Amino acid sequence: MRLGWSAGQSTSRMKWLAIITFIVLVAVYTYIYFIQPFSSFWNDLASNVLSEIASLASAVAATMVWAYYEKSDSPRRVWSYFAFGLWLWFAGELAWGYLNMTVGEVAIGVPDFFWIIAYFFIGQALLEQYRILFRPTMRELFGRAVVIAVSVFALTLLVFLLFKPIAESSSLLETIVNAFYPSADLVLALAALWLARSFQGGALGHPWIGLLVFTFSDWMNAWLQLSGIYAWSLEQGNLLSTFSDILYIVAYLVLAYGAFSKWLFLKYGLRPSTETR
Amino acid sequence: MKDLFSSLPVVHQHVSAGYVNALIQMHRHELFTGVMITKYPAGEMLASVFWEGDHLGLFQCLEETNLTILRQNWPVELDRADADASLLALTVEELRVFQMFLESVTDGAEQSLLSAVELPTQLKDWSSLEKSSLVWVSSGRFASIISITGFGDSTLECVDIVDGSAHFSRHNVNNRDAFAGGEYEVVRYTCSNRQDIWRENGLRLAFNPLMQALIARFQELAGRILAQRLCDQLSGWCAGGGWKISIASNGVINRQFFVSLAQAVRVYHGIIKRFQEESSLAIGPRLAENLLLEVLAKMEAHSRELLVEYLHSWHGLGGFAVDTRKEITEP
Repeated sequence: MRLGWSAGQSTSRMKWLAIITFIVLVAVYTYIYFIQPFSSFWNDLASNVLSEIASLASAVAATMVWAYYEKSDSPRRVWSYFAFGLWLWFAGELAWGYLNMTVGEVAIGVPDFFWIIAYFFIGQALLEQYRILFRPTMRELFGRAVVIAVSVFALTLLVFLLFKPIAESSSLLETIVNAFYPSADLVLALAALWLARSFQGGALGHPWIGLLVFTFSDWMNAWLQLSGIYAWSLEQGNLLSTFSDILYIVAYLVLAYGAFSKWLFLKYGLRPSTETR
Repeated sequence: MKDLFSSLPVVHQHVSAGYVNALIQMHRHELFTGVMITKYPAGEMLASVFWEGDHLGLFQCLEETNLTILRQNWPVELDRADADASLLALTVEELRVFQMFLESVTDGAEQSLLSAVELPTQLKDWSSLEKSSLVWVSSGRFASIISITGFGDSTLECVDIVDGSAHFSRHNVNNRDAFAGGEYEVVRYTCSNRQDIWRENGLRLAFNPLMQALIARFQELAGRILAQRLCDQLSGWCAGGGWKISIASNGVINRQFFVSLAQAVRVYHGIIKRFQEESSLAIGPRLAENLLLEVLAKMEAHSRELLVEYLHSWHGLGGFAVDTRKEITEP
């Protein structure tokens, strides 16, 4: 469909459309959380579905970016890993939502398998980006990979020791996994920000910012779960749990927006201002 | 450098000054690109240079050098009777080589007689020197003019003249095909590559690999589609300014004939500035600047110095030039 918009107008309008959609999504989520307009089952289902939609949005946006690159393009490798990681996160969200609806409190298990494996792919995406930007030797690349792995391990250990006193009712595995998420988020987000520094001011650096929001969200989530404050259903809801869950879907939406704005740039960027679509 | 045009057939004999002026008007009207030679009974030879109908220069050809005639003196110089006129239509590449011969101030000339086997070796030796050279080669009906940039640059730009028509070719001196058998009369004119005409030539030769490397690196960072759009933007900007330069992901096609070094610098600088502005939108200004520094650092020393010197002379890129020098001097 041709709307007669210039490339700049198309970009601007589609960005606003995405922002408004995401705000509406967060507003509906918040409304369901606070007002709980339906029965307990339907409220939980609606909040889970909205989380999954947010996760799906980020995976779809990343896949759109991946698909826009040509097979021989170097950035395509970055986005193949990144998109795959986000699809695994979506699979984790689906599994978590299903278990939450069927058993209530979700123990460490299938969703965590997807989420943890996803970190490997997202880490690989960052290493690919690093490789394109700095053209390191294999030795340097291996060195960076080791630094990331050791940092995640050391930080997980530190967070584990930090969480241990408040995680009396949790199993050892549960505490380790909950310590892993914010640690991996933080290391990946810092690595992503360091890479995004190179793209400072450029449209291609935006998507990585979403990872930073995940760090805050996962820190809070892990603390709430291990301390027993986390509300497994909306009926038991509390302010901190609500804030943590809202931040969680905001993180997905920021990631989705970053990837979507990159896709818009790939589609409409660097075109003459007079060109219409 | 009278030899340069000795092989051209005379197309108008014993014509009046008025007829020479009529020929000039006709070339303007026909948007002629090339050289018109007028020879006079006293032995004087004048070369008029045309670029798409514009009469850009008038030179007096002497034995070992040429004199540029100031525009205000053209009517007087051309107002002579009994001229024999020759014409040589040229492409922009050919005209550039001729312009080098006509405009360069030579330090001296050395003549030799070389065999077809010796000639490529001799050209290789001359190209390894720092000084620029212009070489005139002739054998029977065949004549060729060759420009050698100097600084050890292995690029040879040749214009072969056979039966009154010219043919341009560019070679790497290491791969220069052997000349056809026989002996060649060779005249080598040496000149300083500090002259504007040589600087402009060096800038053009350096600009092409610079842009090619910049686009290739941008493509690596941003993908082929954005790189293609960036090339379209740059080519569009050139076309908008009336410059015949098109930029593609696999290289630059430069068919622009610049009338001065300043004009060339202005256009090349404009393209690089535009590249930085447009690429910054995708990869950010920091990376765009680093990209330029990275590519410059990998270029041959004389090309890099030339680019830095002339880009530096334009506002807004002062820091860039200083940074480049710093980067280059770092171990």
